[in-house]
Amino acid sequence: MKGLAEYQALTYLKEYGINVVPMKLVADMEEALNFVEEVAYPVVLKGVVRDLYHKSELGIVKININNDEMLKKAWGEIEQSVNKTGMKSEGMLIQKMVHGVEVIVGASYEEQFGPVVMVGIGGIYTEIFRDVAFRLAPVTLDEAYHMLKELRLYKILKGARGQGQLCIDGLLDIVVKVSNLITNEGIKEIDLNPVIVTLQDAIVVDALIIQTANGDGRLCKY
Amino acid sequence: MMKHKNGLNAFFKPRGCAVVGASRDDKKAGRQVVENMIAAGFLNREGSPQIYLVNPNEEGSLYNIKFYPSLKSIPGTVELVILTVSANRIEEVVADIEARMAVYNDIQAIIVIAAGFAEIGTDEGKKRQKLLVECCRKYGIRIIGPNCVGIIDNINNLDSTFILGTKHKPGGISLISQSGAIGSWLLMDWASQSPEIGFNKFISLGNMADVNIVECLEYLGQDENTKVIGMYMEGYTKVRDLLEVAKEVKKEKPVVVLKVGRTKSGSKAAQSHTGSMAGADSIYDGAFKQYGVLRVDSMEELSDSLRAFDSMPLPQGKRIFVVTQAGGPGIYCIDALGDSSEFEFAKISDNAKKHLKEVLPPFASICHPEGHVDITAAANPVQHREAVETVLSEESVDALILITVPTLFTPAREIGITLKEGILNLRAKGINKPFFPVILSGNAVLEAKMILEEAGIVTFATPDRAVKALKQMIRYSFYRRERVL
Repeated sequence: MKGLAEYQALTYLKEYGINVVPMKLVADMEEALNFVEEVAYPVVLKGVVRDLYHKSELGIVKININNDEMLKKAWGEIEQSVNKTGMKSEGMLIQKMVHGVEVIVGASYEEQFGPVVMVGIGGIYTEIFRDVAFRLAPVTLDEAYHMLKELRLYKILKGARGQGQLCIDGLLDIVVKVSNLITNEGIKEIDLNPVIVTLQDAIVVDALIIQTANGDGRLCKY
Repeated sequence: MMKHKNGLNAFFKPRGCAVVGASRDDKKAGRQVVENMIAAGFLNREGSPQIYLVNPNEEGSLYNIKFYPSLKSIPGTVELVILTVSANRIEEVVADIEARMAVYNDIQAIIVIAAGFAEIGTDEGKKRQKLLVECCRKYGIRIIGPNCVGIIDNINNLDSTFILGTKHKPGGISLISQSGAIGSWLLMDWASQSPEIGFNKFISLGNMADVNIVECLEYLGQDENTKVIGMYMEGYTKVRDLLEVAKEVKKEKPVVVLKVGRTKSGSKAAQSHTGSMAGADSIYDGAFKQYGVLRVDSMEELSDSLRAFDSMPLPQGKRIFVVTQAGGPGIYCIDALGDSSEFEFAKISDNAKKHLKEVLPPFASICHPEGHVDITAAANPVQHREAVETVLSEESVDALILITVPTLFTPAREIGITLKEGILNLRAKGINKPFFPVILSGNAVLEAKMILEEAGIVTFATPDRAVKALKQMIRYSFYRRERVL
């Protein structure tokens, strides 16, 4: 089984028409600063290491970077952390920092059921909250909406505590597209976590794709 | 697998039936099956079908039904065979089937009650099953089982099971069970109610060597005498096939499923959050909603929901009303109703409120909050009836729960009689809405419940059980109206 870690996975999703956060793979500070010119602060900087899927524990992700100085500092710290792991660095991934509600959209291929799709409360505590709904894939827009409605997450998205309603349509679009992806593209497991839902947008900022052993060849080019 | 042209009809409407392994020994399934067939009235049904007993070690007859040494030696038509002999005699039985088919070519269906086939997991068990299946496939004979308790059809007077004490009262409920014991539990319980609870068909699936759960669901879906289908499920490998059929069936009638195995979570190695959270049960849960299958959590909920669907029309909407005669059970019921995302409390007209104020005891609480009237313990039987009739006559009410705890001054029997009159009076006026009477409790109110039940008005044991059945009805009418997949 082969996995596509963050950058490759996000690129793949973008090509599939899914709304992905602005990002760039950069080799040095100059390239990083050029990217900031385009998207403006705040940004996120992440160390890129081959075949590493869950990286939040390793100190190689720095968020809420607001100026050049912070960016330089983050760069240095991530380099150090990567060196400590003994793994080979493949540069850095810089992304626009997006604030909003963290949602997980996922899908997997299950022996008994075939492709299934999931949506729920995302972030690092997703498995603790387990506020998720499953359906057999693919799902229609209407069905995706019913999935959301059975979750506590729905109340948050509708605008809890005087907040406005968040971009539910954007999230539904992602759920439907992921359900098509798992149905048609030879994927074993896929996590879009988190998908950040804001007032205007639902946008994927991190993703993981595990292909089937004999998965779709075109994924392997990344 | 080759299907006989009549689908599963031969199981339910055979022109002749042989019980292989029939016995005088009252400790043997082969004795109980014969007794159940007789009790179900098989011999009295139209066309006077025969029962033949097959056992080389018996002679003479049992209940005036003759023993034969083999299937081959039976002179009349045998369309259904009920196999009760132990699995280690399967070679002998298969040879007998072959011999009969060579001469008469009449067997269409076999119910295999014996255990000791593929379910035991040994090569021997699998070999026995294969031997039987291959023989039957050759002749287009269909098999239910092995390792099942059999089937019942109360409309066609057939009971091939060895379940004790089943009453054969016809009704609109049909059942499919992946466990013979769970099926027996439910049917024995229904038989012991007074009056007993009727049903139409019961199919115990066993190993599904041939006839599977999907085909049974499809058959019952098309069966005009089946108004609602109940299923007990442990798991099935081709879930999508089952759900595709359920999706079609639910357009005509509700499919209520008790699916067990909730605690077993996905223990497989998964690299993603999604993979690790994708336990079979949570996927079943979502898939049932997606395809409009109603999932219940307990035997009580299964039984109550099936009875509600069988006895009442569907609610036209989700506006419910609660009438209570005592504060405590009222609050208990409102709690049981819980989160109101699936229903809303009905608002009745000012006229209705005014009328209730006139006829109910002075301290009655009328629509504070909306959707709830407490008639108080001072209410007599007629005031119970007034409340029920007034509320159900309101256009804005789709369903009513009534909770009452009869007292010294409100005899249970009178409450039963008056409520029955009220409901029948409404029906005569063309008003027939889901009504969930909860009369608390036990032996002291048995008579009141019997009066209602005998008039076809189903009663519910507790407020929470009434609430659960009502919610399933609201859910189903939603699936029917708004979610036609």
